[in-house]
Amino acid sequence: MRNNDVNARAGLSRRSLLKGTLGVTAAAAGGGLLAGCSGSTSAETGPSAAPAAAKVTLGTKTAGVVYPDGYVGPVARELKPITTEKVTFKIVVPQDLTVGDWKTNAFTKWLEQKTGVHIEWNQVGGTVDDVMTKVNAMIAAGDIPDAFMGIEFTRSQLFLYGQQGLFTDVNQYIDGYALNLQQAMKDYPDARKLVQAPDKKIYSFPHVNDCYHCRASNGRAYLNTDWIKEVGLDLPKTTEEFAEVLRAFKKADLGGNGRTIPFCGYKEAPFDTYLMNSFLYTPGDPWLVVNDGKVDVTFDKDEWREGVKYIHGLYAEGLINKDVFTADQDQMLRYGNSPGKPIVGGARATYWGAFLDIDQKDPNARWRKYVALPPLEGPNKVRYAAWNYLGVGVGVAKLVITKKCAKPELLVQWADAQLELEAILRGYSGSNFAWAKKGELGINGKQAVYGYTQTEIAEKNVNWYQFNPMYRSQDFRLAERVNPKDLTFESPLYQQTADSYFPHKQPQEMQFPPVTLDQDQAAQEAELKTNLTSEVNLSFSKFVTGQLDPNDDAAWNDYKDRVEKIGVKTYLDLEQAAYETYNS
Amino acid sequence: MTTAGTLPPDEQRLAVGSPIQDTRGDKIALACIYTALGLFCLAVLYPLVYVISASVSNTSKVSAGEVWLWPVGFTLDAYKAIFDYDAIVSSFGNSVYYAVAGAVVATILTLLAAYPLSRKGLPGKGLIMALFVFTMMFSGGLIPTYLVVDQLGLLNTRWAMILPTALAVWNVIITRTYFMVTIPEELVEAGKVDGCSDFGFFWRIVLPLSKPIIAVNLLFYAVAQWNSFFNALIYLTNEHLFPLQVVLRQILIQSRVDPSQMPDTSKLAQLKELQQQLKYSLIVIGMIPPLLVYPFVQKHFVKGAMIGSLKG
Amino acid sequence: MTASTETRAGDRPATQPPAGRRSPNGHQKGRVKASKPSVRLGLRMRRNWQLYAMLALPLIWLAIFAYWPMYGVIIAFKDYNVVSGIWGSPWAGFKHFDRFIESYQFWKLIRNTVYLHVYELVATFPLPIILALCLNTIRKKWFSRSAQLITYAPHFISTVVVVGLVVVLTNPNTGVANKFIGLFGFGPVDIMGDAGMFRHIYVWSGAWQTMGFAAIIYLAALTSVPPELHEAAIVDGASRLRRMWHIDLPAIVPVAVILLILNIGSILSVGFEKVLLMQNNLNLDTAEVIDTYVYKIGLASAVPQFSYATAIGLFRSVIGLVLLVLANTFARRFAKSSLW
Repeated sequence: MRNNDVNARAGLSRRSLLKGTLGVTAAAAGGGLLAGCSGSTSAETGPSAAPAAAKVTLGTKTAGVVYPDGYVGPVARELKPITTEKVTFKIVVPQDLTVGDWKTNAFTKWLEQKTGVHIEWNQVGGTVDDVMTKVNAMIAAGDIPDAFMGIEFTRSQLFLYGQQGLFTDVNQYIDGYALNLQQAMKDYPDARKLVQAPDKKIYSFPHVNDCYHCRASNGRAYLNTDWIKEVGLDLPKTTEEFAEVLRAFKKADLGGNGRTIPFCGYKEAPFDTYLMNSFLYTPGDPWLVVNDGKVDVTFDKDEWREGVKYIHGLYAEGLINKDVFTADQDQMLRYGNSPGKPIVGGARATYWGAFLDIDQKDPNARWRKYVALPPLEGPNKVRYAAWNYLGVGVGVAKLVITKKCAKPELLVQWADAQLELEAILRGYSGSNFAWAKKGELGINGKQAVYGYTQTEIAEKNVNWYQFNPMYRSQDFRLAERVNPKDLTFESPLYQQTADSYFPHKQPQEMQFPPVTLDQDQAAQEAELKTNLTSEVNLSFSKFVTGQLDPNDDAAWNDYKDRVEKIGVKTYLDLEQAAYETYNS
Repeated sequence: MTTAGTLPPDEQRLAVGSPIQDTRGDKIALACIYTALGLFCLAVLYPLVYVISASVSNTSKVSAGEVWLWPVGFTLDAYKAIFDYDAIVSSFGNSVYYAVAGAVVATILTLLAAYPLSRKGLPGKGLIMALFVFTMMFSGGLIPTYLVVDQLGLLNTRWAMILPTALAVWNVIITRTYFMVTIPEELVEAGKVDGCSDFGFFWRIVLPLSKPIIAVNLLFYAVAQWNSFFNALIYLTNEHLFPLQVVLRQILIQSRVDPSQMPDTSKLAQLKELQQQLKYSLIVIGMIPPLLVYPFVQKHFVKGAMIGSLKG
Repeated sequence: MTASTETRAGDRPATQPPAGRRSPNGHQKGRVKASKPSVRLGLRMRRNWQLYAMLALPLIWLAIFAYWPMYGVIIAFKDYNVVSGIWGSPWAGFKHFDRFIESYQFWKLIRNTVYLHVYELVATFPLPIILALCLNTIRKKWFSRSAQLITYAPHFISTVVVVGLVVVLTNPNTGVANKFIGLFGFGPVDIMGDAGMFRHIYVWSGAWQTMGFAAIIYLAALTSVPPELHEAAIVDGASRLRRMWHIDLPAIVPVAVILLILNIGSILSVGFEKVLLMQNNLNLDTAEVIDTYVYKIGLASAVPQFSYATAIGLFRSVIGLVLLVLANTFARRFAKSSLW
């Protein structure tokens, strides 16, 4: 039937991959803090630090831009034309409402005027996986542009297509033509390891977007401080105290009419990642960790079971919303934004916006009452904040140059120009920025470098919305001026992450890194991972809601048997091999 | 087959024009039908009213769940916002174009296929039918189809939206079945006796008798085009050619990305705001044309329409 | 009296010779029609040249857009990757089929997909027919027309929004459904989290959304009923329900049978997007179907799994074709209506 035909096709389209896509970034040193960043070196490095092969030089630094002490990140410089003769490259980009028409976009014009490189845009519409479907079809048809920009190829895809000669190895051009990138890779010493394929080549122009608070996203939870005061308790520090607080919320019924939801979760935000880390370190789906060089999973451990028992206890007492596994994002917002009084005591959420509307103007807005809750100490003194050292920061695939491109060195220079400070700011906000004056403070409380003049929905058709290569180092991101009159949520988000989660981060060696797989491994992994994820999610939810009893040994052993049967051993062997390739 | 069908013709004529009196049983049956239909309409009306109300309500009231039926904090901001996005405005025009052009082309092809296949005794009909039906079950898949469209030079043209979907076997089969029911072989024979060629018969007799099924075909094809996004995503790389559903899809689905994977919270917040603002107004805008068109289709669903046209 | 008034709605089956009497290549072995004995095939084909001419365009379309790409099914038997191309990729035999059939969730997927599809078919297939008959029988034109328009409209509400509304209505704290069962002293329960409820919610919300649209096809079929039949039946004293049953319904049956056959052919497909949106961790036992599984494989995969997806699609097509042929044979024998 017609309808089913459409369905079948849609199914096909989605089969395209976007595994972890948005998180295909990875970061450098400990705690996401820059390693080896001492003093003012960054601003001063130029061609001298590069090998003699350098064929281009950096422009002079823009006057009047103030940098805080020890700033590590992009610097404002004069952008020099890359070419004098007219060159045109064909680039495939995602279509986006904010970017608008790439051809008429203000940043497009600005960059072309600065660099002299003209781009012919091919715009691909739809969601991230729609875009990948289209891109795969293009490649299959041999309809290949000079480059793909903002298309989220995975590391494995870059490796596969790169090895087959479709994608160009950027590595050979970095030293000669990408001085900004060179600097960035010096600032982030692990960058090379994170962006190179197993054959040591680099099949995409790397970028840095070192989002500090993102490193703790999965493990964040919020609690209503007003309510805590009202019930006369302190911010809980242990799992016991946490249950205590929730019970007090419920008893006092601060939402009124029995509508109080002491703690709230929803299906789009994994519920295990916060509370489970009081029992063992677990980073969430796909629950992979590294113990002394051995890759392991967390979901079949006894500690996991203890955690499940604890969460089940909370649920059974009515301290967690009944629909914690079924409520959708909209439902979560309806809970959070309930008219009149708040009815939600706390929530497992990435940030306030997941369960509350954020009003940046109102100093007494409801979202300001909710504070990030540090990880709780479990009965065995376990207390982790699953810290994402490697999945955030240095990333791949923003710009992928293909074999079609006759002058890759020009595109490399063009990409490198976008790592310059003013280009970064314009690429992100159009012309809605200004250099900070001396004494104005940034998100981290140090001297600010720049500020945005508009915090609401940006104008359309003026920026590239982060589809392009960039160098947004941590210092850069935190050097955004905080306007005391117009408080954004970025500042508290940073502060609470630094205070509540950073101190409890797990050692970096425990995190499973972003690995690269070959085609066979990828096929095998996809199947195992899909089945394991389904089983773990299903059983976790059943144990928590009491459909399965976590205290019943038979139920628990059945679960472990199922996991075994799906092939957790094969899965671990596969990931171990990939992990060793990554480290070699 | 039916009692009525076996009535002698004169008795049928007798009935014409005689006042129709409902029996008591009929009245009860009718009352039940009215009640059931009324209730069902109410059930269906609720989401419609909700969507419209949400589109003219204050977005924060919508997200707080305060809108249940009627608008809260009436505002037309969401509709004004639509006009801020060139892509939305131009995509609306494109969608209308694809729906109209696609429906016309596809309906012509469908009628051309369905009529011969409805005629009994056409040699090879079974084979041709099987050829059609087979394609409903087996397709080459995305990549090979893309390659074909590419080789025909249709990529990134409006034709790519119209030609690959210019025929739905489902419609051919339904239309054929309709022809088999409404165009009796006796009529064909009578046409032959009058010296009508197959072309002439099709043009002068079949088409005028088939207004309802033509209307249905136009509607179904237009609606399919109107609701489709996948071909646009795959075949078009020029945003000035995109249809409305591509934009709608971005608003409804793209903004559902996993927030923990989003490197930029402010971008996420922006997306969320954009979604809240445009979601319902876009759905309303997307519903209006199909609703406007329906009465034109509907007027052909009059009992005995075909008899009237034949007599006239 | 014109020829058409003599046609009895529903006598269509007589117009078609059984296809079984033909050899696959279309040669006519038996006689097509008693009235036309001994006319040779070539001659009959020549006589009908105008009909073939009409078929030319649709067949050309079919050849280009349906049959030409069909060589792509060999992707299912290869380890396809887009750079090497369809011909350049290495052969893999039945590897991908084996992988699917031996997959941990295989039987669960088949079971869930078939249950869901059959339930949907059985529960919702008659509804548009009943709706069309009702709409057709009422005499207040304004009512009939508005009811048609209203019931048709939900077809245009995006699935995302429909599922969103279902979530609202079934919410354990504020949902109408829970308030309702609360009246009887039950609940509140998390209806969406109940694997047993998934199929009911999916099917009935679907009926509610698509019934009006699906009725259109039957409304069109009903136009073939000559009013004289009704008038005569009234004279005979037939009640309204009897007339619906004996006059209107037979006009619908041929179309309905055809739709039923086609629907059976797609037994391994269900509305992918809606199932995915309705899925949550608690209802996976019933809500995981083939389409969503393929989608998740794609999502979890670091490299696109074209071959695997094509193999699963092919598997589904073969099953579908077998069932379609069976259903068609069955229909030809018992309902006197068939596809070919």
